[in-house]
Amino acid sequence: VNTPAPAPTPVLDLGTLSSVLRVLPIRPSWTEVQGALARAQTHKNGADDYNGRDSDEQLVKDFAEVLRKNAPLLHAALVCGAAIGAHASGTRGERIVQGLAALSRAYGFADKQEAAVQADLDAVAKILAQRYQVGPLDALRALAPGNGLREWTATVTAGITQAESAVKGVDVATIRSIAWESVRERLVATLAVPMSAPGASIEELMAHAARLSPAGVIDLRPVEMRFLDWSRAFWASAGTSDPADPSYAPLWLTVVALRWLGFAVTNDKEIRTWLEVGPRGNKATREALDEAVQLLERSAVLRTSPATQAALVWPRSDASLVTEWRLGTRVAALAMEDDPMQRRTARFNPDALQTLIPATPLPSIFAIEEPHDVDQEKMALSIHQRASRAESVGPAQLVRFARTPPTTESRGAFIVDPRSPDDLVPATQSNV
Amino acid sequence: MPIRIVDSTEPLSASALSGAECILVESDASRLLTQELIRYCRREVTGRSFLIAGHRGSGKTTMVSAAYLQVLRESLRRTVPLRPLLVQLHGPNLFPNPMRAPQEEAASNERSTSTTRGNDQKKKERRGAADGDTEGGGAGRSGENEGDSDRDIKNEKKPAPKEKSETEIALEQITLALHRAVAREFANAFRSAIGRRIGSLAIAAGRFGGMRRQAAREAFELAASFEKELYESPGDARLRDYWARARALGRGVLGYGGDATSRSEEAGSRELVALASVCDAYRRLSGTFEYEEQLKNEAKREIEATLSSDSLGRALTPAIVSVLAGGLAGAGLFAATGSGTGATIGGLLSALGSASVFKVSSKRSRSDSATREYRFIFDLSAATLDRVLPILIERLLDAGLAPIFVVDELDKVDDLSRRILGMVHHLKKLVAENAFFCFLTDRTYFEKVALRSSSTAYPVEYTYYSHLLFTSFAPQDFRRYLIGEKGSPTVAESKGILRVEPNAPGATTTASAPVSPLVAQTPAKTAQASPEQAAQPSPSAPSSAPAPPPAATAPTPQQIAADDEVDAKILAYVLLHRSQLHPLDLKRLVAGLRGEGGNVALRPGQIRGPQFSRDVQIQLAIELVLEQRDLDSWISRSPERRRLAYDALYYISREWPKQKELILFDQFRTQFDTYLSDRIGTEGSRPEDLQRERRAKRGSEQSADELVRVDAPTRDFLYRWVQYLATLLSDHGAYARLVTDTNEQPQRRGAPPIPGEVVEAAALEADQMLLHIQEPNRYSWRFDPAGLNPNSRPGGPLALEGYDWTGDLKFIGDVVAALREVAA
Repeated sequence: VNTPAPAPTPVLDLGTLSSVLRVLPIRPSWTEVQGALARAQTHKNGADDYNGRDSDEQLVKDFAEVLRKNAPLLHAALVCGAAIGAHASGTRGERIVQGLAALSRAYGFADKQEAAVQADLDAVAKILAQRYQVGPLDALRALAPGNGLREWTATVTAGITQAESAVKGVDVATIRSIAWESVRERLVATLAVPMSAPGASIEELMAHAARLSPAGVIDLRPVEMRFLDWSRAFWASAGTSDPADPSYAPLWLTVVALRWLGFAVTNDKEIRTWLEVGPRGNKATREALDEAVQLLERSAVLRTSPATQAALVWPRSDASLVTEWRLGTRVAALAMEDDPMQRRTARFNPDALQTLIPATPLPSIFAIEEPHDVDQEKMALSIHQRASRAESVGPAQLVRFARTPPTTESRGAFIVDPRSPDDLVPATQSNV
Repeated sequence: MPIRIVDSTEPLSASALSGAECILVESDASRLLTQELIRYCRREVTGRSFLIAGHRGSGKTTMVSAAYLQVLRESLRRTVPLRPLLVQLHGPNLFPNPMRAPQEEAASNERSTSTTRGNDQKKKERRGAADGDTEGGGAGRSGENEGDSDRDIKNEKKPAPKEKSETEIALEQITLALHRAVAREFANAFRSAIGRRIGSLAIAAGRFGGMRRQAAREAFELAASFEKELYESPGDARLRDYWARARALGRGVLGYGGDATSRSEEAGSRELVALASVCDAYRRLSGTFEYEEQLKNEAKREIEATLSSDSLGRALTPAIVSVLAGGLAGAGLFAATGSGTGATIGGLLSALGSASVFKVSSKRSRSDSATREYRFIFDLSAATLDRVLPILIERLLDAGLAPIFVVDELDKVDDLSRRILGMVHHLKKLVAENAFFCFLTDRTYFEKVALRSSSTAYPVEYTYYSHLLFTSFAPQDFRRYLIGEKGSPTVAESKGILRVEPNAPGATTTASAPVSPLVAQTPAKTAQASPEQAAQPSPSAPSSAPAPPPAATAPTPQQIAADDEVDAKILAYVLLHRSQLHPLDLKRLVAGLRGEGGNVALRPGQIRGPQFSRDVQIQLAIELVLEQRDLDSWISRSPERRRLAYDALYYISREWPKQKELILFDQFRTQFDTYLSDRIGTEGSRPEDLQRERRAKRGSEQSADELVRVDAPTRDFLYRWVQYLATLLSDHGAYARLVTDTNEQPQRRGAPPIPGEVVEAAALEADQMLLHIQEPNRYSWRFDPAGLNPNSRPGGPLALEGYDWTGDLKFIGDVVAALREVAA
């Protein structure tokens, strides 16, 4: 399953601060104000009268008030953004935007008013001051025309410079390590009590701003991750063992991801079985396995059978049948019923085992009986013929299997279509 | 605004049936209907009978069509074994107007009598009487016709047409509609089956070379012939012939239905049975169809006693007697003559003579005969359809088709509540237990049924309708329709009709259109001017002139998408307020919003302007009020109350354009009562009908309470909520606290928090509230529906009087420049 390419970082301007980062109010719209400013410019910088000037004046007046009112908020946001985004790449403006994007996402600025945003930023500033010696923001500067504005700019610039240098003194590896620890505790705690999802740590935010692991694997709001996202997390844990790689994930994430996906893992044997599923072949070290087992033993919530809904999205293979299917119309399922995991892994052949089932609506679990004896004749069938054949066994199996919650020993569902899994929500989230 | 309005197909359109996207407002009622339909198509229930009510334009028909479409798609995906078959019935045809029928009959009689206008008046009277009278009456007068011409006698002997009962009419209509639907379904399926066969032939041709076009043409001709012939009621053998020629005798043509049998070789025969049965039923209604069976039993017995020479038994007795006679004669002659020769000859002659005498007298004969003849004439009249229909439905189900009868426009049937009862008595078993029926009507009948249920213990309707649904939609249902399930209009997630497409080619163009080309083309050097530079007066401008506006960069696609997402969320609230949660009005509003290229015809950010703020403010307040525990539980007890609650809460919105003082004192409630009455009256529930009925019954004028049809406690209850709503719309503090409280109780609400942009767009500030309180329950308006302060209109004081915007223009420019410096 390919991770989508990150979107380009928007520039740091008033539009980004309001509509994208939601630090500033969205009303009046910066786009509308820009239009008013442009019209004013074409009429001798606002000296001439023109049709619609009244509404433009109102827009400008309101927006100027917004800026004056929110100057301290803007000051805090820029400094905190700079600290959080210190390890990000790009210009200073881009780093600030990435830091603020992580903050906005984690704290949900979009659903908050200015006062609440200000409170969040104050809290973040305190933590930054404690852990990274970022200068305090006690003297938040007010914005005023003329000299006041120049002072404000100077103060903010100095604050940003100090914050960046303070955070840059900390090793990236340390930030990443602390971030993963924080992620582990949060994921387990959220599984136990979904409503009480703890907030992301500062280090997680920094990792996200810098697009370091775990940013590419775990979202800042795990309860909003879909089956597809959790499947990616699962495969990431079975992937690279280089922590510097952005797609790195520790092996203990296998257990946690499976639990989020709806599968129950109860003992170390099952952990090992799951770890060996990876198509790239897993090189599980003894220590990594021990860590996963310890986590399992420590967290009772991971051992419980969580849901009647479980799915794992299988990585797309270039040789797969699905490359020829239209998106959104069908999904491919790999059958595992009555087939022990190890045996299936050994015989894994994407083309031979895939079969078709209807894409939507998705029942609680997919399971198409595996064609155990994939003989040459079947292999020689055309795609159309294989599709027809698979359809004929589809629904009956679905109905039967829907009544049996999955276990790791017996079954799983593997959806390859890159669009349909978007509709799936992990059971834990539906509980929320 | 690059928010695209998706062209959603209608649920029964050819596009929708072939899989095109169909976006509709869903509700609890529609979900229940769909679920029951799925159960019916899985044969988990034998039948259901839904009474679906709602005011005009509330989407009753659409709801049923959408449920059908959803289940149809499920069946095509094979998640349900049976395929739904929509059988549409027009209510007024099912229950024709009793006043109109005799008039039409009279007109028909008039036409027929005009051909015999030369006959005497007595004849005319007789014909007229015969038409209207009973059969007995007609027969009694037959003796008077002896002197008439042959033609008149023929006319007279023809039995008077028996007036059909409403049940018979209903059965006929149901059968006709069923035949129409089945014929259409089978015609399509047959053509598809032929197409599949042609397809497989083509594949084979690819292998063996050369496709036989002639064979394909003939095959499709066969399909066309089949379709045409279906409406001429082909016989069983003819249908079988078609199936044989389509090579569908085994697996059938439907190709999807019938649980396990669909895959077996039995499917074809089941289809034939079902189709032939439906054609038979249609034949009964489309002409004179007689079927006779004769059985003749004959028994015959003949007894004959004949004695003849060749028979040993018959020969012995006369022979012995002859011998004895001959012997006696010979002995007598010998005694008399003493001549032995003479005696011997005499004896022989006596014996021969005796024998000849015996043969003639012994021949006798006797014969018995009995004949019994049976003649059975099948009753194929329409009156027997009540016995036939359940069998038809059962056979269709076996063939893989699940008929769903939809009786629409029942609100146009006069005196429905009385007339439908007649049908209930005869067809309850069929309607409620053997098939899936949906009766679509307005609010009046629904309320009558509800009233009868509450006043009478278990009335007939209690079991006649398995479910009583009232089409009403919650605000979140509408929002889901507009911006999708997750409340996000971004194209990746939205299933609503308003979608933001970040990378759409037209998106950027449209979004940047309002921005001046000058701004968009500003060189980067200018854009990175320092605050000091920006603060410098323009060389070309006098020193007192304002600084040039900031040189902004063109928004990035990400910014545009973020802007549009915010706008779409706010737009949803504006639309809901302006449509007052009415589906039809909402659709009209959305259609009116469509600009070039199918995008919303608003500038980016325009929706956040003052002319829309009050819409958001009122709509959000109404939704918050609807969530209040007392009102919520009052609505949930009876879903039809939802519309009433909407009408009550939109009272303030309806008063808004008038710009008169809003008086909500308890003692001045009459205006509200009248408003509520008018709202109910104009939504199609026709209170005047009830008024007329009651007046006729009591012979007196109604009281105001009866006119409104909303009892006083309900009006009191709703009025209190309107007062509370007015309080919120005048008190920004109370409003903001309610928002905070609501967002802090996500579990109780079972809904996501109110989006921050919506709260912001509602402008919950002291001077931005819609109402200004004069005294408790007495308010004036701060804004008119255009978003303007009534005092700032021509003739009034200007809101921006004395404001010099040049300073702020420069200030904003400086801030933009400062940000650039910070970001550098």
